[in-house]
Amino acid sequence: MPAAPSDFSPQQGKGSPSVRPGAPALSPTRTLSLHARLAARDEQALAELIEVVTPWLLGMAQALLSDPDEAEEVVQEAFTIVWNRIGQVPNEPRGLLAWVLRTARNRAIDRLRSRKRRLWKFAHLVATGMDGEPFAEAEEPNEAGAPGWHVHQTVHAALEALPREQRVVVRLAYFHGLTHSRIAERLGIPVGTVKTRLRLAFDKLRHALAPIKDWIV
Amino acid sequence: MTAHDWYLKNRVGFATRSLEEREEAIFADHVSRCEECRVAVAELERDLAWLPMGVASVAPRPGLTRSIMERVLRRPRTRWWQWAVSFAAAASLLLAVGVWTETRREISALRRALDVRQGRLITIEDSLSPILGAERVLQKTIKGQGSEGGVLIFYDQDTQRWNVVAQDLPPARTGEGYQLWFVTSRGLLPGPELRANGSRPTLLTVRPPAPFGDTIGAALVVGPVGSDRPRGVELARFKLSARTRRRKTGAASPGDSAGPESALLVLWNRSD
Repeated sequence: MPAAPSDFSPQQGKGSPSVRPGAPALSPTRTLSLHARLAARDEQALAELIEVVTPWLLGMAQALLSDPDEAEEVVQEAFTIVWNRIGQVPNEPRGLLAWVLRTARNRAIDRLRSRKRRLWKFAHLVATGMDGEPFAEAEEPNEAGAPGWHVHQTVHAALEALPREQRVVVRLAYFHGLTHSRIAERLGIPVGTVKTRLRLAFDKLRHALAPIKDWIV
Repeated sequence: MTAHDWYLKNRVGFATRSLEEREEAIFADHVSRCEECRVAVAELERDLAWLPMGVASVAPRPGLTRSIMERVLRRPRTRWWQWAVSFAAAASLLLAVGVWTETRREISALRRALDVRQGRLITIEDSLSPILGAERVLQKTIKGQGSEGGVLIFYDQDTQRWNVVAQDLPPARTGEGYQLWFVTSRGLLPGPELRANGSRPTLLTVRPPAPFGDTIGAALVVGPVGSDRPRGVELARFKLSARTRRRKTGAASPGDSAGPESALLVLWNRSD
């Protein structure tokens, strides 16, 4: 029986990068323990989860909503859902964190849609000309000890490795919440081209991220 | 190209939520029925689970963790209008209960008062029934020594009794009193003394001396009490009609030959 990984040693997936700076804040053992404690209504477990995941949820929500206050509300809603529906969260090492990320993103997109803010968002992006920007630089090495830093570095690298035209549509679709038709309108290309670029980009991302899909933050 | 090809081409869009809302609804409906697409979408979501972390993290503002904890753990916040509705409902309920209770209390009080008054009315009607049924009623005002009272004298054929109602009679002199005398064919026979000088009406009901057929009337005399003959002042005299006398004679029975009986009753309290 293999020994359980320590709390600060990332789970090595097959084909994972040989060099992964930093160390994860959560081990599979600790993540499963968090899940069990949350299910047992342990408020301290909730505080630990918030501490680890909130910076990433805020980054994603602010990118989607362009509103720090609303991003905080989305994060709070996501944790409320997790707390109230912990029984639905997959009880596997990466299940809890992935579930929180997906829940928060879905809440943010729901807000965009329900408030019909896509038009505003689109106008905002046009006004600021952000669609051509590269992704933000990966965080500095002094952040290496932060939970999730190594995952961020890997994802960031995978995104930067995409051809520019694919990276742009991924950025607009996934990180700014625009629909295919809006992206096509913004970039002046057919919707079919947007879909093709997205499909190709996500195929590459799946391959690039496959080594870390079982990682822990 | 088959219809399913559209779903194949849009799996990534559905998994990453970049489809139009209408397309997303169509795809969601399809996924609920298509196992192949459901598995494929689940794999996409799993492979791209860490993709949201491609953006830079944002340091939470001080106190955010505590704020999130408080908001997650506390009970759902009630909006002001929910309080208002609840308060209005509670107030309405209290008001309704109050009105209902007060109304019920008033109804009960009114019902009790009505019962009391109906009881009194029945008593009065019962008391007055002999008077109302009498063939004749003698009413006499009696004055003396600065006061004024009165008597009613009548004969009840049903009970075959003489009845005297007196109220506020002037006090008799020392050694004297009010006395009822029966008028018979043999002269006046003594009846009971009438002690009724208070403010309350009193009823004296008395059976006449035997034989009944001899009694043809009654008289109220004020004077010395206890003598065989009236020696005072006759205040009132009541005589039966000839028809009543005939009827009274025929109704006489041997069992009624006992001596005079009398009773003094308080009819009603004036303070009412």
